[in-house]
Amino acid sequence: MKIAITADLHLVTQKEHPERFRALEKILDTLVDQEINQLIIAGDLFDISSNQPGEFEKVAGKAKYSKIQYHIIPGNHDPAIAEGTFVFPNIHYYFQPTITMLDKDIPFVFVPFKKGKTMGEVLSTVQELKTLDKWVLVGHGDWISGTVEGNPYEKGIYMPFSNRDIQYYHPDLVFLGHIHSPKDTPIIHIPGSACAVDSSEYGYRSFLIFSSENWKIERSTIDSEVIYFSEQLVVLPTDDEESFLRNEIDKKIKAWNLTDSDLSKVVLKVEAKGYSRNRDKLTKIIRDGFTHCKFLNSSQLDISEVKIAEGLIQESILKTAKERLDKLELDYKEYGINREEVLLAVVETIYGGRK
Amino acid sequence: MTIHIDSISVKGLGPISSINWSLKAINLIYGKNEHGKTYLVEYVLRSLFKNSPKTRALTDSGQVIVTGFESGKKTFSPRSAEKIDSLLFPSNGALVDLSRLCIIKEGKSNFDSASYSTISKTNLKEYLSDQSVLNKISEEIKGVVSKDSTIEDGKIVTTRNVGIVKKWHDSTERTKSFEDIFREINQEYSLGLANKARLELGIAEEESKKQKKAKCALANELSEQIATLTIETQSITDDMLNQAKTLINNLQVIDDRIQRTQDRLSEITPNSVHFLWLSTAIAECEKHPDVIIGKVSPLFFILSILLLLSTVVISFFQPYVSIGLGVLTLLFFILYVVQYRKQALNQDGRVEIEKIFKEFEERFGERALSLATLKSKLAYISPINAEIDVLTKQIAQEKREYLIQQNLVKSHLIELNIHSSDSKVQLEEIEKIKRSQDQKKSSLRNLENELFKLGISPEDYFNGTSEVIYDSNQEEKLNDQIERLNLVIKEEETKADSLKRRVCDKTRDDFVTPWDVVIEHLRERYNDAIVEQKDLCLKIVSGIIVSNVIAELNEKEDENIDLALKSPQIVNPIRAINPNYHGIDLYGEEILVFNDSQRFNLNDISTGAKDQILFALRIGLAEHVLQGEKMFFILDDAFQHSDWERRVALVDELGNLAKTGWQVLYFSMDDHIRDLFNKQLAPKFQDQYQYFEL
Repeated sequence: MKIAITADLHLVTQKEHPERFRALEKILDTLVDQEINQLIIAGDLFDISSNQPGEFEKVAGKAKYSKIQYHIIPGNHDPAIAEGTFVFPNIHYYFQPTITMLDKDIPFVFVPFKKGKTMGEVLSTVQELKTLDKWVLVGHGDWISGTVEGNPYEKGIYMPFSNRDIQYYHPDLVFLGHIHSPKDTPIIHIPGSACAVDSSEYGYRSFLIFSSENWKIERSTIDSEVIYFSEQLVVLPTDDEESFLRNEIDKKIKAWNLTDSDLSKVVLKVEAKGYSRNRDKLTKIIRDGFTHCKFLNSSQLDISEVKIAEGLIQESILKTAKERLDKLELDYKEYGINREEVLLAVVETIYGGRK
Repeated sequence: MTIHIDSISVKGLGPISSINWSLKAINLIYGKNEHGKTYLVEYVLRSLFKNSPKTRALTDSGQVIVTGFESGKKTFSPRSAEKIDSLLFPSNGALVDLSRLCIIKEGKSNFDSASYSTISKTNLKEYLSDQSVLNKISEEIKGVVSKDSTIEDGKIVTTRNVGIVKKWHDSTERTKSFEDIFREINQEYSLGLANKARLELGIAEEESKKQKKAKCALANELSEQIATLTIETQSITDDMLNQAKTLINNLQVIDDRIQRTQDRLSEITPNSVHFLWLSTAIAECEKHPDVIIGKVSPLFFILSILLLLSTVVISFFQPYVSIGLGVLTLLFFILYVVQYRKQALNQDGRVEIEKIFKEFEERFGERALSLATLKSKLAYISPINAEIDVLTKQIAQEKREYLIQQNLVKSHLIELNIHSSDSKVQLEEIEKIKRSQDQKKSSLRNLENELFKLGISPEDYFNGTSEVIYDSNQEEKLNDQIERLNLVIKEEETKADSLKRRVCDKTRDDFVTPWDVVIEHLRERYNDAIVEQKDLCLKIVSGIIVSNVIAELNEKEDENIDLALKSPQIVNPIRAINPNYHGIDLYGEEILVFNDSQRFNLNDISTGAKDQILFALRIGLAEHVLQGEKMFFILDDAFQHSDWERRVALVDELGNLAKTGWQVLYFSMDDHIRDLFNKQLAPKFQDQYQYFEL
């Protein structure tokens, strides 16, 4: 048996954010294609401003999705949804910690978001956990290990879940909503947002498919209409400033690992830093480089941090320094930096921007 | 190859509407203030050199054509990517800034001795090279980075932990400490365990309360049982039972005694049954005292015969003896006769007596020979009869006693609820009651012990129904569980408090700040620490890289200058401009000029000579860089601050320079200089002299 898991759809209305509904439909279409009849939504089905569950039912209630059973827990954005909200019998909304056998042998423990509580606190109220052998936790909150990175979508800590909880309660698998950035560890799997809610959620979005037979989890990419990326470019005032920049842009695009057709879905934010001899040409070069991509508005292409380069000797030093840097075998990971940042630091050291 | 500016054409450049000039060997461009001279200088410089001022918005319409390249003419504009520098030095990015050599700006002229009154090697390098830039960059890089830090095997190696390096290490430690505390939070922060323990504690305490209630109820029940048993045990005392038992035994003894008496009575009664008859018979017999019962005995008669015979016989032998015998025979005979006469006289009494004697024989089975026999019999029966009387009386007495005793027993037995009249049964019942009482006493003791063990004060007894049955094991188990859970909660709370204190120390939050806010602050501080650490690391890495490059360039710079100073390109212009001197040399930081016989410090020679030497030096360096080729000098009112006498000499020097193949472009707003050019150079250079006016 296969069970799909997604989270953080943040549905509002079709009018306001149609792409989020379409992302949901893409997931449901995949489920229909793969004959998967169980979908878990690990919180934040709706956005905080939404009070229209009917919008979701319009999609979920379509005839082609009639075989799908929806298992939903409330997230921190779902306080408006209360018991008795949903009309359709195939929509199961868990307001209290609930153990459900989605598969005949595997108990799924659904833990709804509780404001001001930790996951451990809520789990402690589920007496039956002791009796479970192998079980799956579905929750909505921050994973403490991941809190260092934080959730760019919203500040604060929501219903934190810690390694201590794993050690104490021994869930065999955890599906955690709330964090929009996808992540997979041996136990904890974060599906990430199904549809990017802002440009900080870059790259393909995906959902999870859990196979109860072998306990394997796969990621299935959602054919999103919009793919966000946010990039930083270093501009160097060299003879080949333009070609260097184009080359850097090409590298970025390649790193996205997108298909040609998906390139046109990219909505981009670029921040250029460094020094230029032809600052007035920069915008055009960058736009040309990312020709298939869209910028939401002019502020999404920011060259305000690019300064004018003066001095032949500085250029000469930079050229040599860059060659050195290219050959430099530095353990970037250990120091938490990358080559691009070092290059920018070199430029700023030479041109006086780094104090 | 001589590189000269062939022409300059531009439209709409500041106040300049349009120019289209063909340049010669010497070119004076004259313009008053606000006529566009500065615009034009910047236009030319930005068209030709990378390192040029960018202070004005320049027109797109215009070009500067330069001749002398291998490929022929080249057209430049401020927008063109290629500049003369990059065309002449395309690949190595050498330390050559042609603009610094070939452009002499107002107030920066080497011809102005005032600027170089104390010229040194450093000044020379500063002037002729980019030492000042290198120094400026080096100043930005901390010494501990440039001198004591390297990158080896992918690692940053620092030998001194001071300054920025120390800051970086401190920052790294700080970041690690944040990571450690995050790890601790991840390992310890849950609140679930304490909460679970609290929930379990709640259940256990509830169960414990029920047990307590049950215990109080049990205590009450026990106390009631004790009370009942106490009454029961006190209502039938051992004394009562013992007394009853004694009474029954006594009664039994009396009964036994009566029985024994009766037995005796029964035993002796047959012997005394003829006592009355015998007494009467004796009395009757005594009425006939002479009656001889039976035949008179022949004994006396026989004896008298025998004695008579004997007397006769003996009288033959012993007469005296026969007299005694005769008397005796007579006595016996008399006795016989008396008896016989009595018998004959009491015939009627004798019949009565014989009848008595006969009945006697019937009654006693023995013959009564005489009254004595009867009397003897009576004497024998009389004590028995007396005993019977005694016994009879005794029995009567004992039976009365028995009745009294029996009533006493009865009354005791009624108290003991024993209704049987059988003493054996009664005793059994009493034993039964005793056993029961013993049992009750034992139970009472047990109950009292049990109650004592419960340790409940009488005022806490609960007279009602409890939900559970009191179980001391369960109570103990619950108490242990409660104790353990309280311990767990305390431990968890202590741990959580300790962890929170450590986190609050880091975030400087008040301890009462909610956990989620504290963690958010911790994250912010951690991110700040990372930014700081990263920034410092980047400064160090970039500093190492750039300082290494600068060190190499400095080395190269020194070499370049030493070589240049000795090269014909330097030496020849000096000789040409001032034949008194053959070249220059460096001595430490000082610059010396020399001829065949002497060496002079540059600062010690005359100002005019020094200007000439420095100008020659500039030309020489330029030629050195251009490997002997000539180019052009652009002078932006370079002589403006020179006194008038020296201006003459300087203009002459420019003429001399032009003669060596260098092109001269002099921009001026000064009428005197314009006049000097027109007076001194125009005639000498004829068609190679060009005057432009803006």
